[in-house]
Amino acid sequence: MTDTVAPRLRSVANGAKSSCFALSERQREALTGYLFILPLFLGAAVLFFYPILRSFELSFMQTGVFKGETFVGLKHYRHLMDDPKMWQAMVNSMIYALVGLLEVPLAIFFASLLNTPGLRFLSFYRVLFFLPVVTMPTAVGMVWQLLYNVDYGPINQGLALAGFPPVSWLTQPVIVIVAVAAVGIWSGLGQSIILILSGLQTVPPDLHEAAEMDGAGPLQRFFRITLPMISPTIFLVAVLNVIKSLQVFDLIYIMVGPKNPVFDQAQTIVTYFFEVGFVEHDRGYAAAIVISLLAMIMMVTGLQFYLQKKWVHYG
Amino acid sequence: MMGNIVLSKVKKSFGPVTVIPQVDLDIADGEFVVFVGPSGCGKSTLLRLIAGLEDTTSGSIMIDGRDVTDEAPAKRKLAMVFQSYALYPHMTVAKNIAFPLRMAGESADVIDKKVKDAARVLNLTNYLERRPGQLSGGQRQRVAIGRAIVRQPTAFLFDEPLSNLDAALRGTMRLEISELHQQLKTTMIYVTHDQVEAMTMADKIVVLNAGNIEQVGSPMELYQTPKNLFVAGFIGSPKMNFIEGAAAAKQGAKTVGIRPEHIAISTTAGDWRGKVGVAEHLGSDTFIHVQTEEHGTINVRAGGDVVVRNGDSVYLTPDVKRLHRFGSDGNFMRPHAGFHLAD
Ligand SMILES: Nc1ncnc2c1ncn2[C@@H]1O[C@H](COP(=O)(O)OP(=O)(O)OP(=O)(O)O)[C@@H](O)[C@H]1O
Ligand SMILES: [Mg+2]
Repeated sequence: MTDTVAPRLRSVANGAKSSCFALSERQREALTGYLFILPLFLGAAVLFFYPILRSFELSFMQTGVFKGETFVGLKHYRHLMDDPKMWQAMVNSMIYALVGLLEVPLAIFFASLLNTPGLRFLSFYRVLFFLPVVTMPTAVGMVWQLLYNVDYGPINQGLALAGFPPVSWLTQPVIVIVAVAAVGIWSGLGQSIILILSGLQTVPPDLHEAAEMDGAGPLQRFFRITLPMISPTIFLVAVLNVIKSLQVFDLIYIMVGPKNPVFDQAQTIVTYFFEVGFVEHDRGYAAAIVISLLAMIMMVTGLQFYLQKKWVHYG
Repeated sequence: MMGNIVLSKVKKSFGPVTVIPQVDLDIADGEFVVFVGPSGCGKSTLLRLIAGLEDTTSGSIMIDGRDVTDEAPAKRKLAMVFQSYALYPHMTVAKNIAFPLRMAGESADVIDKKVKDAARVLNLTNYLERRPGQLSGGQRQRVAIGRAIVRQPTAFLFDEPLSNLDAALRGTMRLEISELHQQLKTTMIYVTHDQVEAMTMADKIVVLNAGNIEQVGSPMELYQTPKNLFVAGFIGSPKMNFIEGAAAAKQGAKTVGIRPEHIAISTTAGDWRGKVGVAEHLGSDTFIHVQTEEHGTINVRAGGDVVVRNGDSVYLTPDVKRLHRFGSDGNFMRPHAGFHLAD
C-alpha cells in the first residue's frame, strides 16, 4: 500500500512548486534530461549533422573552383553508376574489408591466450599488442613499405630463404589491397584484442567449471560456451572493423600513393573521394561519393545486424 | 554404480596459505553427507577438491576404490550443482540438461528421452524451450539439478544450492532434494551453513572449522554428544549456553554447556534467578533471553504458550542430565556420577 501512496504524496508536495512552471513531474524530468544532453547534441550538430547534411546538399550540385553551386539533380549519382573508377574503388574497399575481417578470429585467438588463468606479464603483453594502435598510420605505412620492398624487404628475403620467388607486394592489383589490409589488421589488432579480452573476462568461471564437470574438453568449452557467451562482443568488433575498413585512406595513400603505377587499381572509396574532391576539385561529385559510402556502410552494418540474429546470443 | 568416496590426508594450500591442513573422511555409498562450518572454513574448497576442480596439494582421493587424485573432473563421474546454478545462458533448458549427454556422445534419441524424463521428474516439461534468464530462481535450481541427474553420476555435489532462494522455496527444494536422494539412493555431498538443512537432510554431518574436521556423525549424535565446544556451539539453534567459572569448576569442568531447550522456566521457583530481557514469540516456541545474576545472559527455549515480558522476574532450572562438560582443552568430558550444577 505504502509504495503506491508515497509517490502520490511526493507529487502533492511538489504540486505547489511545479505549478508555476505548469509542468508535470514527468515533463520536468524529461526537460532536465534534454538539458543534460544539449551540449553534446550541439557539438554533434556542428561536427556531425551539419557536414552530413551539407555533403548531401553538395551531392546534388555542380561546383567549380571559381563558379558557385548550381543544382544538377541526380547527375552525379547517375555518373557514379557508370564510373569504372568508382566501381574499382568499391570492389577494392570490399576486398579490403573482407581481408580485414580476419582480424576478428586473430583477436579472439590472441585474447584467449592472454586470458589464460595465472598468465604473468599480462599488462606487458597488452601494451605490446596495443602499441601499433597508437602509432601514427604514416609511420606504420612507411615501415611496412620497407618490409614489403621487392628487392631488399625482409618479407621477400624470408620467402627467398624458404625457396619462393619474390612477390611484388605493392605493385600488383588485388595483391596490393591484400598486403595493405594485412597492415591494417596488424595495426588494429590490439584494439580488437582488448575488446574481446574484456568480453572473455565477463564469462563467469562457474560456467567453465560446470562444462568441465559435464565432460566438455577445452575445445568444446571454447566453442560451445566461450564463443557464444562473447558473441555480442565479437559482433561489435566485427561491425567496427568493417566500418573502419570501408573508411581506410591513410594506409593506402602512404603505402601505395599516386606515384605507384597500380594506384588507380588500388584506390578505395575514400582515396577516390580524396582525389575527386581535393585533387580534381569536383566537390559536388566527391560529395556524391561520400554519401554513397555512407549508404554502403549503413547497408553493410544493417546486413550484419540482420545476420547477427543467427549467431549472437544476448544472455 | 557405487559411490563411496575416501579422502586420506588431503591437504590444500593456495600458495603460502593452507586452507585445509589435513582431512581424512570416509563417505559410504548412498550416504547423504552434509558439510557445515562457518564461512571461510573450507567447505567449498573441500567439495571442489572432491570434484577435481582444485588440485590437492597432497593426500589422495578415492572413488569406488579408484584413485582419482590426478583425474580430470569429467572422469570422476560426479555431478555438481553450483550455488550460482551455472546454467548456460545461451542454451534452452532442454539444451542445458542435454549438455552432459551430448558431451558423452549419447544418441539423439537417448538424449531426448532422458531430458524428457528428467523434466517430468523436476516439473520442467513446460519450460524446456525457455532460456535460463526466463526462469524463476526455483526453476533454475531444478534445471541445474536436472543437468546433474541425467548423467547418472556416482555422486552429487551441492555447494549451497538453496542459498539464493527465499525461505519458503528453500523449504520446498529441501524436501525435493531429500526425496530425490531417497529415489536415486546416490551418494550426495551437500555444503550448507543452514542448520535446518544440515539437521534435516543429512545421514552424516561433517563439521568443519578452519579446514579441520571437528566431528563427523549423525545429526542426533552431534546434537546429543558434541565432541567439543566448537561443535556444541555450532550445532543447534538457538545456540547452547556456556557457563564458565566456579559453577563449572564445581562439575570438574572448565566449561559447562546446556541447550536452551533443556532449561525449565518458572515465575515462582528454580535454581537461577533472573530478569527477562527479550522474549521472541514464534508461535510454536518462545525464545527467552534471561539476564541471570550468576551466569550472565542465558537463552531459554520454552513452549509457545509461555507468556513472559521484558523485565519479568523468572527462575531457571537446567535439566542436569543434559549438561555437557568440557575440559580446559575444549573437549567433551564423560559425565561422572551424580554431578549437579546448582547447589
Ligand atoms: N583460489 C583461492 N585462492 C586463495 N585462497 C582461496 C581460494 N579459494 C578459497 N580460498 C580461501 O580458502 C578459504 C576457504 O574458502 P572456501 O570457499 O572453501 O570457504 P567456505 O567454507 O566455502 O565459505 P563460505 O561458507 O563463505 O562459502 C577462505 O579463507 C578463502 O579465502
Ligand atoms: Mg563456499
